[in-house]
Amino acid sequence: MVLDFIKRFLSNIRFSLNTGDKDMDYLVEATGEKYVLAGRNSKVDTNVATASSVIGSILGTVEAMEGSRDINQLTFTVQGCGKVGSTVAKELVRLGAKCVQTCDLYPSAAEITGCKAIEDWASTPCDFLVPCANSLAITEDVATNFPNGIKYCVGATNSPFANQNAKDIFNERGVMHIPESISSAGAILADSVEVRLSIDHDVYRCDKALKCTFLHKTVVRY
Amino acid sequence: MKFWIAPFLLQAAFALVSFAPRPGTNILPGLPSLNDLFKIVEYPNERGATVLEAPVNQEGVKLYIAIDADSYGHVERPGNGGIRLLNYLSSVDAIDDAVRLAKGMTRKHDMFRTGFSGAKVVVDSDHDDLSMIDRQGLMEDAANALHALEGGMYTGCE
Repeated sequence: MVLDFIKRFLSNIRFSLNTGDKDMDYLVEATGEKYVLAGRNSKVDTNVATASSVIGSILGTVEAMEGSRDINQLTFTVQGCGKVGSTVAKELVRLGAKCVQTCDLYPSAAEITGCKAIEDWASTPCDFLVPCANSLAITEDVATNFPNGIKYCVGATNSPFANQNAKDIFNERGVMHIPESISSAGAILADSVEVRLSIDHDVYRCDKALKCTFLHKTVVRY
Repeated sequence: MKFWIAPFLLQAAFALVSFAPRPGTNILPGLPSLNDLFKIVEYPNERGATVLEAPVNQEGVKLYIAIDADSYGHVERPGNGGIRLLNYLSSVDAIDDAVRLAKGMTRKHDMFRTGFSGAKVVVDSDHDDLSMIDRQGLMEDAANALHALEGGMYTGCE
């Protein structure tokens, strides 16, 4: 029974959460381009926007807690290497992280240049846990047994903790958690600009606003 | 007795009373078509979100829409949240997930004052193999639901 549950849960985690661009194209067509905010027909990739907000939150946390934005002494574990997680991992490598460990249910997805693929994110030491996968993955057991040394938990996952107890355990262990309402808000910021675009019909102004909002063009499709 | 506070108390009481669902009456007088399309599976006085079940034109798939109480029926502050597709263990799990995620989306939107409130579309599939789902048909059903909400909700990728 338990194994069956785990098997069913794990077998669906990665693909099922991600309604993708093809789905959004169907939806855009069916709605007549109404009520859909997914960066379709836009230069903005909402997944990259979310990744950008995760990176910004990581750097802000490091600056506030470690005194600078230098991450070359920090080891990161990126849990989940879908569109958001893989972008975060690549950016952490680019920013000079000491080590970026990647983990995914599909091992090939964790093979990212400059990263170290690991089998079990919950038992591998790190300074920073970056959840970018399924909700509720940080259970009480995971929070209790996560290797010593972890200092921060900042990611894209909505509701990463299985329950309040799990969150409290991390808190009691001194792990700083940045709520996802801050760290993974990139897509909703892009959405809010996109809806303004559809209301105003002012393409130039909104394109400019997007570039200003998400500096360095990190949210633009590539 | 501080009389100046009375109007505020009255206003608050009126808001609470006027928001409570009344069985047998139209929940959204401004959107009368809603009750014809949706089955309301959870009222906002339970957990602060309304959960609707929208019709789906294929077997083994259920489509739930959770909209934070602040947004339901209010196009001035529409709900926003992505579409999640999972093989849940039960409908209860799917509805719980929808409510939890919609409330989480509200926190996210509130943080940045985007003008949206929280919402979520959760699709519960009986199929272990999600490739069995007719995605185009599912998105057409989702589009019908969005049209019925008349701008009360915007969605996107999960």
